Amino acid sequence: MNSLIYNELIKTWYRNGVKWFLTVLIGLYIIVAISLRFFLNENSIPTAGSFLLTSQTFINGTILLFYGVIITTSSITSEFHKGTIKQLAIRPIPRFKVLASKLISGFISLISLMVVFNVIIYLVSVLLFDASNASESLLVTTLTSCLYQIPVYVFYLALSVIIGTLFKSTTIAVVLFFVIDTAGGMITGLFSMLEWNASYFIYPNLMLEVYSDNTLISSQTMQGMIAGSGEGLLFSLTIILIYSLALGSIGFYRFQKQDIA
Amino acid sequence: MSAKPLVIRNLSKSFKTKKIIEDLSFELDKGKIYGFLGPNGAGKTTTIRMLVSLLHADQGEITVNGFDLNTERSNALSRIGAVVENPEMYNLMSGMQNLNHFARMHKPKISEERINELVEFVELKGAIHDKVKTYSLGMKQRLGIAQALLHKPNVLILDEPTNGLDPKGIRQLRKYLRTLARDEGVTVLVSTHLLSETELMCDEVLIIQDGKFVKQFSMDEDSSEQTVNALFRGPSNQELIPLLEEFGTVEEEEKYIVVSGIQQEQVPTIIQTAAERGILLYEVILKDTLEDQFLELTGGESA
Ligand SMILES: Nc1ncnc2c1ncn2[C@@H]1O[C@H](COP(=O)(O)OP(=O)(O)OP(=O)(O)O)[C@@H](O)[C@H]1O
Ligand SMILES: [Mg+2]
Repeated sequence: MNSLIYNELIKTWYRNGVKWFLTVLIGLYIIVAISLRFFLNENSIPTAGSFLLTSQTFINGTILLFYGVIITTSSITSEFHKGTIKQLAIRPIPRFKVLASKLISGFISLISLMVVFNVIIYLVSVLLFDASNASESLLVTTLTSCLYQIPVYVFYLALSVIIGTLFKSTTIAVVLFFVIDTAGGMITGLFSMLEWNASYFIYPNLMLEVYSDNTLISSQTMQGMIAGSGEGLLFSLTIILIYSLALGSIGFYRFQKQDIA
Repeated sequence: MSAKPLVIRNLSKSFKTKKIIEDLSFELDKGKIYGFLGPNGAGKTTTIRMLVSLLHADQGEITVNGFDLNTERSNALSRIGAVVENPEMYNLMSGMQNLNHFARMHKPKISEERINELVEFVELKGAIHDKVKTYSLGMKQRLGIAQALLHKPNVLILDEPTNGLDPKGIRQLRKYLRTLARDEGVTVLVSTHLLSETELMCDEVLIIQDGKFVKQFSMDEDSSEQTVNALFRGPSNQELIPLLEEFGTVEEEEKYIVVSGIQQEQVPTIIQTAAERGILLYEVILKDTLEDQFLELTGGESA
């Protein structure tokens, strides 16, 4: 299994241009941070805490999530498009292990990127911006915020697996990602307008930050007027787990059974 | 283990309602090269896909050295190496990276020596660290063969490996396959449309049509016992006709006189007789018997 995961990580490195992704995104991020720090009116320069959380929301919550979906989906779809799936499926290895290695490698890639970026985000925030009167420890805040993100990644990777195996299309994965990301809020809003219970719908349960008593993190969710399901952290985690398992199982079942032609 | 390298029994496969493979059975022996022939759409690729578990058969049984592909999949597949249709590789990685990638999918661990040995065998040493996207089709085919042999399979299955190979490449392929079969006892199943190449390369021929078994026969027996068509040409074909009529039915075909349905061993006798009678000859051609047979068996459609 380890060697399968290793294979997938190597292929991801070459296929998804990880080198370029890192270079460009880190470069842009530092340029933006420096611009904000030095070219903004003295009074509107954000505090370290607010810069930290805005960065995390944008990078962890959107960019990395999006990239992780692309990495994982394309690790499945590109094998089908290029025909290399045949070379994988004729090995004396059960098919579910091949797919599992892709899922796990997607997760490892995503977490590694998260570590790299959050170290940078933390350093940039603390070194460039004013951290003197932050209401919470910024280090703890960075870590906590990352932890809240992990279950969300799990859900989206499960989504990538089912989309990769069912539709064989990275484009559909990307579209669905945006649909869930934007329509999710609207649908939740609609639910509450109609006074339906949206708690079992996946979207509000992905807003795990609402459960945090870290004032920096929860202030971020208030700002965005994000309504969580409000049923408690354990409830939301359970919902995420159930959705992920359901989606993942369908993907694995399909991959195991399908004819590769 | 004395079980045959590959046994197929009563294999059937439909796509939707269309029967593609119907009750197909055959057996392959150790260390022989088999030509897998059939007209376009006969079901060769479909059969091969079932042999390597890409497609699930509707019915029937496939065993590799006695291991059932369905119930003992890993044991069966670890004895098969294959290139199904085009040798697709990871283009952004080097040939060596590709080989290492596939090597990591086998147990026990495939040694570095084994990999290097194969690189030498398929003569890719100079280019093995270049990206595969820079490879010619022939180089990709050779890399495909190398990756199929990593785990020393007992059965090597190649689907139209001559596709896109130049004459030199085809001759090299023939050399590789011969070496594998003779020296390592590998059983080789090659689907191809090149009948003259099949004659040179293969020990036995397996013909299918419309998903059904048509005939399996040995090439060696065939060339001596089966009748051939001999084409003769000399300065004066008219002088040749009476002589040739003594041996078989004679037909004029363009610049040749064709004697059909004679034993191969008769040909030297004819040449000798011609010389004795002072009849001059430019050339004698023995026509592709396999082609004739193939067309006869598959109803005249072209291969
Ligand atoms: N995935 C599929 N769905 C439906 N029909 C298929 C599929 N794959 C193959 N077929 C049909 O099965 C038949 C056999 O195809 P196959 O590719 O096995 O033939 P082949 O002997 O390899 O032919 P060729 O010499 O052209 O390579 C054809 O009629 C083809 O149309
Ligand atoms: Mg074919």
